[in-house]
Amino acid sequence: MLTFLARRFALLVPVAIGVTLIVFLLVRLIPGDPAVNMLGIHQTPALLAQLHAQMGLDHSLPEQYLIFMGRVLQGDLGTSYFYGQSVISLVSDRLPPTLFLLTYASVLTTIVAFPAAILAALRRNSVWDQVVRFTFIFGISLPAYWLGIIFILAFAIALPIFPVAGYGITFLDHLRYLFLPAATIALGVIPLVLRAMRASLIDVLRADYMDTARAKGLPPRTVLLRHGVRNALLPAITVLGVNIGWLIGGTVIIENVFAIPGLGQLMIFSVSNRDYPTIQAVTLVFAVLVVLVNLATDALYLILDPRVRGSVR
Amino acid sequence: MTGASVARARSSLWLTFRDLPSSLTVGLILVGLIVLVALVGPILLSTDPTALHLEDALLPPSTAHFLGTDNFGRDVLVRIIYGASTDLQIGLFCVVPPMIIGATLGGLAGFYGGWLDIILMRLADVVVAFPFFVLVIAIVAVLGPGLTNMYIAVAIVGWTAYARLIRGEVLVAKQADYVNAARVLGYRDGRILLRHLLPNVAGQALVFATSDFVLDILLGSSLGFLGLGARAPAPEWGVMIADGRNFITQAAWTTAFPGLAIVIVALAFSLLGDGLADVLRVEDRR
Repeated sequence: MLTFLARRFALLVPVAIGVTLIVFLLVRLIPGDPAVNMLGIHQTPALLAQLHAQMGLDHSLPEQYLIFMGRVLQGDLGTSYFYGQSVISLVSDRLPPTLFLLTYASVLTTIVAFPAAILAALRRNSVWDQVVRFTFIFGISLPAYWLGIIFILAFAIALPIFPVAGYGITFLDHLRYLFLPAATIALGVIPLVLRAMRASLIDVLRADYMDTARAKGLPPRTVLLRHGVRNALLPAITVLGVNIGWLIGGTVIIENVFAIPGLGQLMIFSVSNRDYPTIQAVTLVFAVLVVLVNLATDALYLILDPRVRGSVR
Repeated sequence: MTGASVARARSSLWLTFRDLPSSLTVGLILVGLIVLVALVGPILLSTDPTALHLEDALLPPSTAHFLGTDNFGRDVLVRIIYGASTDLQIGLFCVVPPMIIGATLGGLAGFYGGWLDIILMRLADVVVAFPFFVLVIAIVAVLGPGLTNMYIAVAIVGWTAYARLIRGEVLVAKQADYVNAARVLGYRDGRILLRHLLPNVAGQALVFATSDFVLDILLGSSLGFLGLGARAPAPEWGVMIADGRNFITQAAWTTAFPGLAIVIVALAFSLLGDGLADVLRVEDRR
């Protein structure tokens, strides 16, 4: 198992290099002096000279990348032009609300999608199955930011059940404040997850061990829960892991609708202020998050499924 | 052709039409109507969707203004109709360039393999490590807000999906007998790629492009909403929702209707894509 994880890590190296390379090249998309472009409206002669030295602009491009990487590995992502604060502290302040929201949305997605997928898979081509199919088509057609505003209007203004915006202070606050945003994000992801879960459940229901379980005379309920659902859980988790990019995309825009002080809000705010070091850092953090979640999904598979462990060695 | 064979041909045509999945039929009709509105609407109306009529600000829906007016007194329905061409254009310009770039690169990578394949696919792996939306926003941030820069950003990020898809299809298809036959006939690679492989792999790309179109309309209007895509006062649906949001308690119609327009368009194209996928799956089985 350790060798598998080690090999998986080794595969990450080229991706990690590529990701940092893209983030590095991002501010160099515009021709001309990248320091001048980066500073833009924040430009002063002193800042310009400082940035020139910091980015190593008198060196060649590969050398500049090495300088950039050296700083990233030391946890130095530069200083925000707008906040005048180190980007790394800015990002770590904004990370918890985003992670909370992502987890919350994933949990809500699973709570809804998993039972619905079981129903649809059990009664294939029934009305239920059609409902699930249409939910998919309908769900992917909803603009999340608009839905969020409609939710605010319905459940925070017309019926004041939930707060209009914000994050709260205690854990229970967070659960209450983030319910509508998490539900909005979940609604966008549920269709994707539901469809994939349904397909994997249909595969599981057809498996030989299901027939064996039935042939042994186990009650249908036990067959479904102990043998079917348990085996279908794993692919279900994977589906969620694969869709982490969509979850993050949803989070970025929804944080801006509900004024949640997370990374997504920081990103859009930094875009309007042309705060490039912060944009670079947030982009990098999101990419790292995707890579880590994919790795964690693989590791979870390994822990939960003894067969994978066997085949890896 | 005898009369009987014509009749048979006709009835088989009718059968194929009747066999079409209902989602495809409904999707096609809806998409047709939407395109018609986007093309003909502005010609029939021929008003300026950005002209201010402050005396009519925030009027609720009535016979004079079916969907009400916004905070500048502009008719919401008129702006939605003008917005249709903007948002369809967003979908088109976000789909076609990545599709052409991705299909070309993916086709070449799948056909020739080797270092080209390795480099392109590793590059795609890296681009895919970023959440699509985040990377597009980051690139727009550097290039500056606006529709053209959004199209550039989407092309830089979006080609990967098409490249992976086409590469996979070409890898399978190039083993087929008809490709070997074409090789034996001495056809050049370019001809084999364009005339023999492309028609056979285009179906999957087309299905993907329809769902991509939906996502891109949502993405484009999201960027408009965030102030990074189309800019106010342009009648773009996301921009309209962003404007309307400030008056959500007094005039919900300024937000609700542009959103519904997006839902209807996205639904139409989703149905079309769903039906198309169904038809192609059936053809595969035959």
